[in-house]
Amino acid sequence: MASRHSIPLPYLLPSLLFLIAVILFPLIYGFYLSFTDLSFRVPESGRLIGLGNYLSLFSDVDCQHSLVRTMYFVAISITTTLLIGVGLSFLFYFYNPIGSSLFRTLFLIPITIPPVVIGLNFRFMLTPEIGVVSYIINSFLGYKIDFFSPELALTTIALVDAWQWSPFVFAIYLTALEGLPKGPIEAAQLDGASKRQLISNIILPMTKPILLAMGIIRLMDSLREFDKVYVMTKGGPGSASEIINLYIWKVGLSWLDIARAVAMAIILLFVIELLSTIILRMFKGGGG
Amino acid sequence: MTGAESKKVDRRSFLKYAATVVATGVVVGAATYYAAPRPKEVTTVTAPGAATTVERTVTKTVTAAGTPTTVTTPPTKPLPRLRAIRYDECQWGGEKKTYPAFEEKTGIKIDFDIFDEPTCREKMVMDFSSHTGIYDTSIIQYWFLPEFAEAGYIMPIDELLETKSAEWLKVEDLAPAGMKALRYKGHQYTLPTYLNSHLLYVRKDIFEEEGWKVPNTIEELHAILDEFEELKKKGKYEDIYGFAARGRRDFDCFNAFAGFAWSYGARLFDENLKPTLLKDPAWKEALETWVHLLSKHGPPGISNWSWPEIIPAFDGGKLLSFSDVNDIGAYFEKIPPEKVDYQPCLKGPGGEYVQWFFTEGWGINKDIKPEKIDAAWMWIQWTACYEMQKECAKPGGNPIQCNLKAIKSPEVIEAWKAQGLERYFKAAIKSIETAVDPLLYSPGVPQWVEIAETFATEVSAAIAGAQDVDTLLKNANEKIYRIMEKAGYY
Repeated sequence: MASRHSIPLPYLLPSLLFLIAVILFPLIYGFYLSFTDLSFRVPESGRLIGLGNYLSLFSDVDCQHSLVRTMYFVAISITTTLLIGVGLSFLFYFYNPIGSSLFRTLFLIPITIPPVVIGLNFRFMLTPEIGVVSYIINSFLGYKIDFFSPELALTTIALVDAWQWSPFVFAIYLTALEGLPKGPIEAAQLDGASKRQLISNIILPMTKPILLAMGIIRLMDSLREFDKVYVMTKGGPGSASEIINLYIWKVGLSWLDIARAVAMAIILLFVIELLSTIILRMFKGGGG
Repeated sequence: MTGAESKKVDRRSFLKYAATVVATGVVVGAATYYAAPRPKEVTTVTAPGAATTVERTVTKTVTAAGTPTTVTTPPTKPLPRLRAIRYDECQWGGEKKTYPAFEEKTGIKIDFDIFDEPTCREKMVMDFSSHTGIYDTSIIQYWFLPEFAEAGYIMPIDELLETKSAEWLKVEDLAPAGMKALRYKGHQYTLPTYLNSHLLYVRKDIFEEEGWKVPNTIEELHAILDEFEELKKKGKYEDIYGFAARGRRDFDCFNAFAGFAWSYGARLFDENLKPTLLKDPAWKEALETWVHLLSKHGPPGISNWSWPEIIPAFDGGKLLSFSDVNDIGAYFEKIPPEKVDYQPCLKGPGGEYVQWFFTEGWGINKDIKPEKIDAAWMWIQWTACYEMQKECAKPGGNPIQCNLKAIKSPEVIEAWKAQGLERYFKAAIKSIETAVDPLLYSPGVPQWVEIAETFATEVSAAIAGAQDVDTLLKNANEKIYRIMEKAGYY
C-alpha cells in the first residue's frame, strides 16, 4: 500500500520534470560550463580548466568595476523608486486628490511599456542638442546638461529605471495602505498625532513587511537590468555606465567567450541570492 | 443503452469516418499531384545581355548580364530551397528589390530571416556553433570574418570561384579593398556586396559665406575649425558645432579613429602582432588630434554618439562638418544637396588618406548540405554581379555598391544626377577608389570585435574627458596585448 506521502508524487511529476528540464538542468549545465574554456571562437574549446575562469575574474579590473557600478545603480534605482512610489501613495492616501482614479491609471502606464522602448525614448529625449529635454532645459534655464556624461550617465539610467518602476511601488503600497485597519490610525489622529508622526510611528511599522517585499522584488529586478543600459548608452561613455549584466553580455555574446561569461553570471547569481537572504532575514526580524 | 448514449456514439463514429475520408483524400490528392506528368514549359525572360539557361523540369531561358552561362540541374531533382539570415540595413533594401528577378532567373528560392544587427549575430553564432545547419547562407560583415573563418563556421569559396563562376560575374569589377577584406589566411570567403569608405561632409553654404575651401588635409580642417570656434565665441553660428564623428564605444566605431590614425601612418600591430600604441608616436599624435576634434569641436555627449545621432544633427543644421562613411550622403532628408560639400580624400600628416572601411558579403555555412552549395554560390554571385548592383545603386537603394562598373554606369550616375546628388555620388565613388586594404590598420584576427571594442571604450572615455590620451594609449595597449596573449599569439 502506498504511503500517505507518496500519493501526490505522480500528480507532481509532470511539473517536477518540467522544472528540472527548464531550471535545474540549465543551472547545472551552466555550472559545468563555467569550469571549461568554451569559446564560440574556438571550435575545439570546451575542455575542463577547473577554477580558471573564476580566478581570472580576480584580475579582471573591468569586471570588478562593473560590479561596483551595478551596486551604485541598484542603490540609486531602489531608493528613488521607493521614495517616489511610497511618497505618491501617501499623497493619494491622505489627500485623495481630484481625479485620483484617472491618475492611478495613468501612473501605471510606464510599467506596461517595454524597457527597450523606454530606453530608446529617453535616449533621444536626453541626447544633448537633438533631444527635447535638453532643448527645453537650454531654452528655459539657459544651460546645457549632458545627461550621458561620464559623471551622469549611470545616474540618468537609474532615474529612468526609477521612473518606470515607481508606479509599481505606488500601486502595491497604496493598496496596502488602503487595507490597513482604520482603528489604530483613527486613535492616533484622535490623540492629536501629526501626519509625520502617523507615518513614522503607525503606518511605516505596520507596512514594513510590504516595503521589504517590494525592496526584494526591486533589488532582483534592478540587478537584472540590461535593456535600458544597452539602448541608452551601451555602457558608455568609456565604461561609465557598464553594469555587470552588460559586461557579461559583452564577454559572452559579443566576444563569444561563453565560459567566462557563465562564470560571471554564476557569481552574480550568488550575489543576488546573498542579498535576498540578508533582506529576507531582516524581513523575518521585522515581524513579518 | 439510453437514447442520449446512442446519439453520442453515432456522432463520434461519424467524426471518425469523416476524418478518415479527409485524410485519405489528402494523401491520394498529394500522391496524384506529385505522380502526374507535367508538360515541359518553356519561359523566356529577356534582359540586357546574352542568354543564361537554367534547365530543370520547368526550363526557363533567361538572360542575365554578361556572356552566356549554363547552370544545369538534373530534371528529376527539384532545385534546393535556401534559408538565409541577414540583418536589416540599407543593402537589404536593394537585395529585397532584386530578389524576385534572381528567383525568376534561376528558380532558386530563398527564405530570408531578417533581424536587427546584434540579434542576427547571436542567431548566426548559435547556428554555427551548434552545427544545426538551419541557415545555408549568412551575411558576413568583414569584421566577423576572421572569427567565423578561424572557427570553421563558413567555407572558403576559392574553388567555386575558380571552377564554377558564372561568366557574367566579373570579379575584376569588384572594389579590390572589398575583395581583400573578405579574405582570411589566403582564402576568399565571400564576394563583397557593398563597401563603405570615408567621406568628410561639410556645410557648403557656411564654407562659402566664410570664404573657406573644403579642406584637403587634417591641418586645414583643424585651422577651419579653430576659426569657426572664434566666430562662435563672437556669437555667430552659436548653435552649430564644428565637427562630429563616432565617439561611442562600440566596436563599429573603431574604424572611425583607426582609419583617422592611418592617415598619420599608424598601424595597430607590428610584425609580431604586438600592439604599437606606445611604440609608434603616430598613434599619440593622431589620437590627440582626434580627441581634441571631438571634445573641443563636437557637440556635448559626442562620446556617446554614433551615426544615429550624427545624421539628424547634421541634417538638422547643428553641425558644420562630420566624418563618417560615404553612403550617409544619400539619406539626408532636410538639408538640400546644394548646402553640402564632400571631401573623399582628406590627407593626414603621414601622407595617407583618412579611411573608414566597411564591407560585407554572403558566406556559405560549413554545415550546408552539399546539394545546396551551388545554389548558395549562385546567390553570392548574384549579389555581386553588375546587373543586380546597378539596380541596387540607384536612388532608393544603397548607392555604394562594390561593383565599380555598376556604380559608374551612366544609368546610375544619371539617376543620382536627377536627385541633385551628382557631386555627392562622384565623391562617394572617389572615396571607394582611395580605400586601402583595411587590414593595414584594423586587427584582422578572430579577436577583432574584442580588440576594437576595448580600444573604442578607451577612446570614448578620453573624448568624454574621463582620461587623457597617454592613459588611453597605455590602457588600450595593455588590454590589447592581454587579449592577443590569451589568444596564444605570443
